[in-house]
Amino acid sequence: MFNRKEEFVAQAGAAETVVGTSVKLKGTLKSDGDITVDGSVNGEIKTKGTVTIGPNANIIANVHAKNVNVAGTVQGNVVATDRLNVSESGRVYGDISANILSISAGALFSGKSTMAENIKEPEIELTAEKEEIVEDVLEPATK
Amino acid sequence: MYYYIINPASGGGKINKIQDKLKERLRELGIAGEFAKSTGPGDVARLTHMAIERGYKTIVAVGGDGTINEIINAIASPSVALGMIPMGFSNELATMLGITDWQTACNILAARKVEQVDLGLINDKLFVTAASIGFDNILFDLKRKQQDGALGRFAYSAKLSAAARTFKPIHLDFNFDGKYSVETDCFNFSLSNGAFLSYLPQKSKPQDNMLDAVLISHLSHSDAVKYGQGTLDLARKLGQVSVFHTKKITITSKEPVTVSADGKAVAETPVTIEVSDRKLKVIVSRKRRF
Repeated sequence: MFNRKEEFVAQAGAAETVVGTSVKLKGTLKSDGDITVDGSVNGEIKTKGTVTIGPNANIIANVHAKNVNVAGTVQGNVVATDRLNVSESGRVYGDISANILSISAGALFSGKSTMAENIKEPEIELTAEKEEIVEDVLEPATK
Repeated sequence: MYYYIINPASGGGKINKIQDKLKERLRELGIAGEFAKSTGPGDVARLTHMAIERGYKTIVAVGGDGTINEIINAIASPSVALGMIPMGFSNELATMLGITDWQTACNILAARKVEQVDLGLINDKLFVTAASIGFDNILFDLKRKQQDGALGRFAYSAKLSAAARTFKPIHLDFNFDGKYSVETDCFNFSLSNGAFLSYLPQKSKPQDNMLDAVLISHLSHSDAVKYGQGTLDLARKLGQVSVFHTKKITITSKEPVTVSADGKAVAETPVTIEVSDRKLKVIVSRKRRF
């Protein structure tokens, strides 16, 4: 995760699609490659790769990707078919679904969470529907 | 046989100094062909039409990106291949194709390895390298004046610094493939047909049927000067840089602004730019960037 600006820049530099800080995007942003957002997006983001949401990003959109890293604000549902990381500056207002979920201390998450891999196992408690500020990193093994 | 179109004005008349050596080298390689010199605006297109009518299958541009732009807009036949001997102030296409100087160009022409590349289309004009709006247009103008001898080194630096100080970002609206729209203030916008910009991802190729849009929202005075000198590391300016991939883009602005392609002003906003259905056969080096 990118707790420092340099780390965010390093990740963004490898991305195929980059939405810069002062850019406002409306509509459906689809890609096969990695997407980095540090500006505003209103609509939908879909990719087979990784979506990296920078600390200045303000996203009103559903996000669907293999991996999603959140350091900014997302108002919408987030589906990561593999891994979802919400760093300490991340804010997610919406439902999240991931195979592997990591939420850092200080992050804000308001919505329902689903661990995709465990959906078929009804004996395990999977969801939380209350607004919460998560203090610890959540990994599947802690459930 | 090869048909060479020489633009004697390219690169401030660089060709005039090496013309005899060049012809001698081409004779040594057995590809001397026929030479024609353009005499003014529109003449490169006229010579290209004439060469095709006479059955030439290879036309060689002895000039820069501007000369190449005129030739590709005049080549109507898909069977004609384009070669180049770089002589312009801007030789972006030759550089990407691995053609670094006239001596290398001669060897590459003799080896005649041909690849097909995409072309961009602005209204009804084709381009092969990139289209630009914003600060690039000031740079093209300054570089042209420098090559023509109208600006010395120090005068060029002073003009560049002044332009970097006074240039106001332009508010532009973009629509990408009819799927999403983007609005931002732009210091510069480039739409590249391949790896013409060093900070683009390695995957960008002039054969992927896509154009790479790079938007630079704003730069400080010192960074704008570095950009003009080609020394700014844009990979470290993320946040100010946006990158999108598209087949078709529509650009609008409150006031009409100049759109250039291959280093020449060709249109004004509002404008639609897209990947053309037409492709271009070019003679390339084995050391090309794609």
